[in-house]
Amino acid sequence: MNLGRNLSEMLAALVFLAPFLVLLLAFVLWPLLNAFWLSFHAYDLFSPPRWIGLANYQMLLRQGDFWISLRNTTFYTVGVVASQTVLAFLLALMMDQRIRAKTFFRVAFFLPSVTSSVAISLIFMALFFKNGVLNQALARLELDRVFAAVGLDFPVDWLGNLHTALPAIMAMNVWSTAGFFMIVFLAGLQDIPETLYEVARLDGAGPLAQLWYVTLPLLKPSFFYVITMGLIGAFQVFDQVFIMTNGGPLKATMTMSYLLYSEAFVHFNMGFACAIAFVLATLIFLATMLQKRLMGE
Amino acid sequence: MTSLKRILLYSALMAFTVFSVFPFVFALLTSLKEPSQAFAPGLWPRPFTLVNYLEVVTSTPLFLQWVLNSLLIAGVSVVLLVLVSMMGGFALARIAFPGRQAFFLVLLGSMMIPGQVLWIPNYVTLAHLGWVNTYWGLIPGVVGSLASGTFLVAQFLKNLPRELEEAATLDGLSRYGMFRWLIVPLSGPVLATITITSFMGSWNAFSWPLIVLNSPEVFTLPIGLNFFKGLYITKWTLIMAGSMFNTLPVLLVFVIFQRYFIKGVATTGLKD
Repeated sequence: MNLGRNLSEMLAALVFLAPFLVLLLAFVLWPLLNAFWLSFHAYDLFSPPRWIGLANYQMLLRQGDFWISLRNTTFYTVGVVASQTVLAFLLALMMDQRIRAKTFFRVAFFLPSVTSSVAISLIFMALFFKNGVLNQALARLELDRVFAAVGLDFPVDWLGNLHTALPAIMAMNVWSTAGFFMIVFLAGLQDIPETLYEVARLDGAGPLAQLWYVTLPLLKPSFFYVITMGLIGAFQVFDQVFIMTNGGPLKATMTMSYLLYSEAFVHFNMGFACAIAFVLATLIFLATMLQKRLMGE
Repeated sequence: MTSLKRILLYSALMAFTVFSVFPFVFALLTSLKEPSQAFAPGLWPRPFTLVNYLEVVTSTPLFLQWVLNSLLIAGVSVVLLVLVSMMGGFALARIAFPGRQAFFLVLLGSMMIPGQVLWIPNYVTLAHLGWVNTYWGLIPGVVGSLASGTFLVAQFLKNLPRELEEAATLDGLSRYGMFRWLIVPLSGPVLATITITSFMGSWNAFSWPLIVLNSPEVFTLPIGLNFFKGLYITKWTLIMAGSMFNTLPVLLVFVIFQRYFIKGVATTGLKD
């Protein structure tokens, strides 16, 4: 290798990477620093940013809406990530058996994850509607008495009721992501060599023991990926809340992203909204680290 | 497998298929009902009618404009994303340059940054450039998919044999010639994957276009649909017909090219 060749290689790499690099710097890396800087300023987009130190973060801790959104977001994330991971894993286990029409099932399960959040939200608004299909089906199954027993008026106004609005959105999002993560688990399952199962069987391991001692340990990277991606996605939930409930009723579905959006683009508290964004990013980072530690990755 | 186990397995799979597909079937059938029959008992439209589709287009003259806007934007994003991620992925996978490992880490790290952190500073940038309410303003929204596209291409190209470089040298090809005449023709599968996932990403995008676009003439279809919902709330047959304009094209593309979608998910998931 001579110096000239080295230089021309570097130049070629730079030319090929230039478009990506420019976009990454302009719209990801620089804005990241800028957001951090703005979070210590009062800024309404029209007058220049004014340094206020930690005031945005202090205000955050005093604001009731922030704590409500934190509680809602945490509840949402724990519920959605746990359910979608378990559901996706169970589906993948079934799909990994010797079955016919695998492509058919895969396509059917994956359909919700290619559909836009708006279309899904509109469809589920119709399903959850007070006189809608969900309530009709529940009445047909004579489950209305169960609702009376737990103190819910029937028909239930799923998205308009304080207690059901957030769980309804959670159920919808589990529905829409389970098939996506199923594919990740399935890819992981298919990478486990059949011989390992044979060895386990020779040692007298039944199906449950094989699951526990072969499948689960070897699937750890897939679990790590699914949970990490799930956490990142769930913490950021916005579209569905914006479209279906606008954070209501009475802030029951107000998530951190929704609060951030309305502070930034409705009230033009740009600096304050940046502070919310950093708290959200920190939470996502901590949650990812925590699960990394728990899984011993 | 015993036959009892087999029956249970297929029943569970069928049950989840129904669960997964039912909302789409419900929306399609509702869109074909007379407006007065929206929540009449039974899913089947009696009679079938296309009146809702007609009304979507006539009541909201901008609706077809939104479809066109979305198609145009999706087309341009796909070309941009494919080109830029092919080039970046090639450099990362096949050219040894100092700092490559560090660059890879920055790339992976950038995928972990929540979009919301970038909403405000990017909006401020757009405001300075005068790009608010223009299609230029949508560019920051696709940079996220750019990182994953570049990563996907790099993973794919890494697995091509080392002999390619030797062949290129023998043929007297420069790095640029190699990219154009060897790498691009060999990248069919990964190109298909990025084309389809970036089309889908653009066609379905919601939050960033919502922030950037504020006059109805420039709306994309998802933003238009949300606006449309605001105008006709409780006219469910009409809203379901509107949402079909957004859903049917992408479902069609998916059913035809499903293996490329699924390859994209599986490849990203397998990184260690």
